[in-house]
Amino acid sequence: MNIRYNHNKKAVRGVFFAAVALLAGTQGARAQAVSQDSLQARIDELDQQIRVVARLNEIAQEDAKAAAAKAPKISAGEGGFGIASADGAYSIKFRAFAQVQALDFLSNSTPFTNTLVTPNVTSNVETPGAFSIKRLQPDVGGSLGKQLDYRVHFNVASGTVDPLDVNLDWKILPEFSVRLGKFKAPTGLERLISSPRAPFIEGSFVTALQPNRDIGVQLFGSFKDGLLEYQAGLFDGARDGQSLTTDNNKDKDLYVRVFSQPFSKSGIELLEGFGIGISGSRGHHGDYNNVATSATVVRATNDTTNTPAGGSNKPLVGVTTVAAVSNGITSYGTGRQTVFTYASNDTSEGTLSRWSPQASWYYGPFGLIAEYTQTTQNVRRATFDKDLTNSAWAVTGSWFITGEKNAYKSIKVKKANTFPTLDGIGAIELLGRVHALKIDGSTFDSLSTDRRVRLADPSRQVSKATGYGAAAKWYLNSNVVLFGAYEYTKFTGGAGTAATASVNPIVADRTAEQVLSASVNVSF
Amino acid sequence: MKSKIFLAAALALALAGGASAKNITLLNVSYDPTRELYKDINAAFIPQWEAKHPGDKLTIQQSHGGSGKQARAVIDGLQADVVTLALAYDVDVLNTVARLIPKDWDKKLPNNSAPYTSTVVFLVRKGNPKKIKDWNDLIRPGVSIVTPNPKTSGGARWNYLAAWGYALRQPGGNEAKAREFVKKLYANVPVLDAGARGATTTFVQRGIGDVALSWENEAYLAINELGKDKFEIVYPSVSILAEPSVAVVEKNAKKKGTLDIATEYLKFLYTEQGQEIAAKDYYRPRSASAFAKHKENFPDNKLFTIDEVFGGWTKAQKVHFDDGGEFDKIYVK
Repeated sequence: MNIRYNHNKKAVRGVFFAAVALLAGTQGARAQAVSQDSLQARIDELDQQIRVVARLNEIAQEDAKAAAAKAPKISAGEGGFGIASADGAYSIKFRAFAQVQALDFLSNSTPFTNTLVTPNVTSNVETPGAFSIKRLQPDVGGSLGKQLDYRVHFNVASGTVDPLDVNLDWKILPEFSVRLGKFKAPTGLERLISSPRAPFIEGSFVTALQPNRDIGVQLFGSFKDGLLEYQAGLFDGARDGQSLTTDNNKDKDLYVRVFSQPFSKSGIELLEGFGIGISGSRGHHGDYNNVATSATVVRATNDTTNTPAGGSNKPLVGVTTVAAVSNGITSYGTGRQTVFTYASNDTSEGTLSRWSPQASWYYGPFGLIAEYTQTTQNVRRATFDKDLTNSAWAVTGSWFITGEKNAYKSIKVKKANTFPTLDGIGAIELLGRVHALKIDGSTFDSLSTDRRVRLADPSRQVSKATGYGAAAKWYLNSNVVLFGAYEYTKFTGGAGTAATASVNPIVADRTAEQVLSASVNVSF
Repeated sequence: MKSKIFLAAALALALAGGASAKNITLLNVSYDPTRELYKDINAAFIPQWEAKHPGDKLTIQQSHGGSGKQARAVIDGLQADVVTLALAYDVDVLNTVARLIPKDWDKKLPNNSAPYTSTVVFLVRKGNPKKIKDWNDLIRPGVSIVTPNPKTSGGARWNYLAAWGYALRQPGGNEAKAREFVKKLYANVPVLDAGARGATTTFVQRGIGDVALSWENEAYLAINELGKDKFEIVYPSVSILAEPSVAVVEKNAKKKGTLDIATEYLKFLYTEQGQEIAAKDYYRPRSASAFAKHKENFPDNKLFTIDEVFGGWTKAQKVHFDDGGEFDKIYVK
């Protein structure tokens, strides 16, 4: 009995403990399950928070990107400095070109007048052997909307503001646009090239026979990405070499130019860079008041010679005087000295026409420009008048010995010089040119029994000039170029003994000009 | 000589103009979720136009974004030929602010220039884990809602007004209670996207939130593209009838010489073919026959209009969405 009781007692106790253990186990499992659910909920909540933060960051980045896309863009680089609206429709870009020059004449070749006249700015007189600021040209351009471009480009090298290009372009289609204002009339390749890419400091004789900048309206466009381009316009009518600021007659000149690169899409690499074209102009130049305009000429103090052709018209030493420049007609020179001028009181009273075939070829590092210009102008003296045809040609070649790809508009320096570390040599371009000027022979004919009456005096004005030039350009980078050149120009006529009333002039050749020039060009 | 030059110039201009007439480009500036709709519309319209006008080469460009932002872009100069925006107000500002369209633009085409309609639905995750059945479920603590910013998105404005209208229509509902309701609703919104498509991305692709307030067509698109096993649509007891509006931007179209084709383009939306395309893309067509054909996609839930509850878009915009309006007060707090 006791045994059974004890047995039962033990069994009850065992059941109790088993129940307690079971209960404890169940509650533990439940607590563990509750804890896991809570943990999962917490993880889900944190996961959502992380996702929200990530998404907010993503949206913020998208907003920043969208805001940046709308913000005006500021640019600074080798091509200049600019600001443009987000879509590029409105922009302004600041560029500039500066050219500091030094030149000197080799012995026995000092120009007889010692008068160095910069091209197209006849009042600007330079002194040989001196440093001078040849060009200092700020250039501001940009867009006013998607169809309007503007440009304000001027030269301040002389100390005064000389507007070069002030124009507005209405870009209707690539094939048809309109330009209005003052700018380079459509003439020749060398005239139309940008200043930083000009082969020599002074233009060739071809360029001397073409107007510089004119005021007017021009239609222009190109087809098939430059396969054919054209310009045609009506202009006030600048003289040869003139940069017109005010019209000097009521008539307008018509200019037309077409230029083609017929093989640009041919795939024939050798010919892809070949271009050929022609330009021409025609207009009536007259209605002058027959009073000569004048240009300042200074006889340098070191010019004590009276030969070969100083003549009685030579200005006094160190004294500023005036030399007659005939109305409507121009003078021609090397850019360093004037070699041909019409006589006093000659005027242009008839038609001025020009035509200029031109070609260029660029292949790898090589480049070649060949041009010819012929100007026919009616020149009058009192009751005498003649149609005089002057002409010039020029061939200019260049070679980048450092292998850069040669081009008309701009070149890219392969390894810019980073002086003083000299990581790259920069680019070196060798250039050479031959060019010639021929004045119409009848210009020098006697017009009356008085042997002094001629449209130009052959003993003072040259009838031919031929120049040979060699140069080297060192592009330290795309912005800085060091330039050095030697040029030899020989003349026919332009010296001798002046005519008298009864005796013809004795004509001799003017001393050849030999000049060394150097410049530092900075552009951006 | 001069006259010959000017004659030549005039001829060149005429030739240039004539040449460009054969290559026509239209720009349709639309709101966020209509990418697929207008891709389909363009694919149908272009061959029809080119068949009727041999030699024409028609290109239709699409621009999409938040409806309000898109309207602003057109005012700022985006050269839209047509606008197809989320709501009439965004079209109307093209007249009131910039005079790009006539004042009576909404009378130029049928149905107040709204060729199709839509409504606001709830897009929830499969199984609807938060048991969201109606608007009042959205303001429960712990419910996370995705909806875009009413300041920039037309769809978001419809969402907001649908919620406000629901609260107003509850027993004892009034403006104060509606304000409180919508305030609680936006307290549950963790992310405000700029447009409806961005909000869909937030909910669907980024996995944020328990419910997205969505255009009906956008909800269908999400389900069809990402799987019916992931999401489902909940139709609340009452919602708003959204009427996206369209208009020719006459000033731009006249300048570009595209007025006729732009008008024809929008008229095409009302054709049976255009209505069928809209219905297939889950926009509710105006055409009874097209609606009947696709009625299984458009449950007959109760819809109120903005005119009935808010007195029209101009008033609703001024009271709720202009700077300093109800939304600014609610969301800042």
